[in-house]
Amino acid sequence: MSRPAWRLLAASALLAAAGCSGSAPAIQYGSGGSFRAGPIPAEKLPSAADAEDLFELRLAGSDGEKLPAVAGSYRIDGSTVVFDPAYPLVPGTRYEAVFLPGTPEAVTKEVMLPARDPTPTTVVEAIYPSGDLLPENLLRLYLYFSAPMTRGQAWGNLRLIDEKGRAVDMPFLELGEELWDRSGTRLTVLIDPGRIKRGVSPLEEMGPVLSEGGSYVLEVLPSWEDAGGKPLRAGYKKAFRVGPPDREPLDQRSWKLAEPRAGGTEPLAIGLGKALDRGLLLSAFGIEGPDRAPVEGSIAILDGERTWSFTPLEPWKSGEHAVVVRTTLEDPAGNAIGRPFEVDTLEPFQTRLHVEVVRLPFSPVNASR
Amino acid sequence: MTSSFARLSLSALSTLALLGLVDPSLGAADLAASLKKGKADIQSAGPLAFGPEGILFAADPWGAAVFAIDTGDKGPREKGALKVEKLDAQAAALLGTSPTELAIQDVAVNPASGNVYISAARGRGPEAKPAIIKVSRDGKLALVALDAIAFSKTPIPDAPSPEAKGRRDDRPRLQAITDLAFVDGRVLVAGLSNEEFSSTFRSIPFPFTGDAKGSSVEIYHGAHGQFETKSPVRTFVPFEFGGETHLLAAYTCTPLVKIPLKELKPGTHLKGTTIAELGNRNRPLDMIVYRKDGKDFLLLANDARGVMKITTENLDKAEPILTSVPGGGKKGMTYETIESWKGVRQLDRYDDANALIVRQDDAGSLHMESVPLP
Repeated sequence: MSRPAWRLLAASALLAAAGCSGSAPAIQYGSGGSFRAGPIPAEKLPSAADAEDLFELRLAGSDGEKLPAVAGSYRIDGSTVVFDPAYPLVPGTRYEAVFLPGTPEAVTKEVMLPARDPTPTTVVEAIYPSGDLLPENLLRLYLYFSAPMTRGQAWGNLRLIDEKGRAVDMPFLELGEELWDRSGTRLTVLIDPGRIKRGVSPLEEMGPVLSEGGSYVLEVLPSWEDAGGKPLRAGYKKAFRVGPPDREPLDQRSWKLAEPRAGGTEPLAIGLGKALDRGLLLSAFGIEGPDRAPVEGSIAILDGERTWSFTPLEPWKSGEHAVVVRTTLEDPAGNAIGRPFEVDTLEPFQTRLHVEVVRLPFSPVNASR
Repeated sequence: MTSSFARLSLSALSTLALLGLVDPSLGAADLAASLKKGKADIQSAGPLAFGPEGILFAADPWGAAVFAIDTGDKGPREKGALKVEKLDAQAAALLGTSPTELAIQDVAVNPASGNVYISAARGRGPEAKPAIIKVSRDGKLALVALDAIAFSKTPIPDAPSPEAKGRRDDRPRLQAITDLAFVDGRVLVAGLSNEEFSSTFRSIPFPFTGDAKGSSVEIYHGAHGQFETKSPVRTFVPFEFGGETHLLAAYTCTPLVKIPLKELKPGTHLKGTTIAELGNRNRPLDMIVYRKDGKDFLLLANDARGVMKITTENLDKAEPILTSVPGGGKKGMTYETIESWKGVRQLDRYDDANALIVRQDDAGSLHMESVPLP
């Protein structure tokens, strides 16, 4: 950011003059994002505490609205007041710096960093679950973007359209804080759990979000802005049909595990029987070696989230390994290992105090065999 | 939101002291002494709550931590109203940006001084920077300098993970924090992971002990004819009735659940009791308790159903709701909607007679003011 700022600096020669007595008062915005204003007349050389009276930075054109000056820290360097804004200047925003040295009039300087290229570049890369037949009690979707996105715009830019072309009213759990990942490229979207059809209980005024037999389109509007404030290059539509609800807890005993060959680096593949939650497939699994130490490698989610695959960095050793899976692993309807999403009131109250793991032992096949 | 310390009546606090729940030997000076001056490395500024003596608790969802910050703002409390027009434009200007580049996360009143603190994000994406802004009684905004301030922090530990080591195409899970409060020497934190659909509720003793894992509890409540095991608590408030302190927690769509505080022990499950269904198609935002004309009331701000004034009479005798609620989806305790309070996005208790609200006008601008409690 500092390099383009320097380009803006028309009168950089004044920097040398600042601080020299007798030179004309001037303001400079320079490397490191600091403003320097000087010279301060000798009789006014202030303490740092008074420096705020000598200089301020404002949004340009905000005088009439009595908006506060930009926050930052002040110090005195010789006969120059130095101001460091608390936050970097925003490209494309005009600022007005004002130096009040007490001479006939204030010195002002307008500063604007070059605006970012406005050409849209960000797209939706994928929406998960990737399948086109989803359960009626679908709970969770993931949206993947090609670049970090603006937070706080999801609910205005995401629509669920039913087969009659109508937008479903308030289908999502609109949390104040949207559920982005750390990179700002993956958003977790939850179907409002209050509107997922449950058992045979009558549905309330809104009706369910998804109904078995229906066809829907999840639509991402192009007006959704990326972190740079630019709209998406294009909208995105995911069409899907809705099948029966899935209330089956996950059962790891039904998984098909293809054991790899010791000494090789071919992947270990686990057939999961049904599509599971992609986000959890990426984080809920681990591999332990014969010494119980974690095995390093890379994960791939294949076959429409029905297969979890792991390719080790080093060749497989002989001996007993284990796939370690947190029991919090869920399918897209929220059913976990050993526990369906819903717990019936008539059943005994269940307790599950700690996150547990299940271990699936396996032994890489010896090549000699 | 949640300056819950302010929400607890003095009688409730003294009751807690009598019950031995508050250690009277642990004075405010001890609390402040646990804070050390330095750079508070907050990655994101989320829900806020005040403790005693101007100690501000700030949740950092991205950093998966809770900070305790000594604001140095210990009063005295002055009388008078507070009004800030165009709060969003003013806060944005202070941070050198436009209102579209600013997101106000929470607002909390410091009960010691009556000054208001705002948590905000400056910027739009993952590079957005946190800000905590102080609004003084004269309506002036100032940035709280977090690079040299007395603070302490405690991590919000994630569930143990067996994640496969090595190259992955994804990032760690994040914990969204929906609300926090300070009560009875503990910071209570409600949250939701961005992967598992499990509601977490943590109780972290303060002063922070460094390795405070707190207790993680699951709260079950009856709704929809099923036990709802996992929905996130959206907002909660401590409230004393029936001779003991309870938490009243509001969930999406919109069950109100009571939980006895004494049951909130490390490593336990809680079975909360649904005492009201306040209607679906709704998202609770903030909740306070107050006393007027000798009676206690709950005030619950919602995004779709406005601000509800809920009577607390017979709260201790409220019948648990265990069956689904058809039709309009309302049952249990009665309430009235405060029709004149439109567009309320933030709510806290300002003083005994006034609420602090942030409301959004039709043009989308935010305005903050103290208003008499209904």
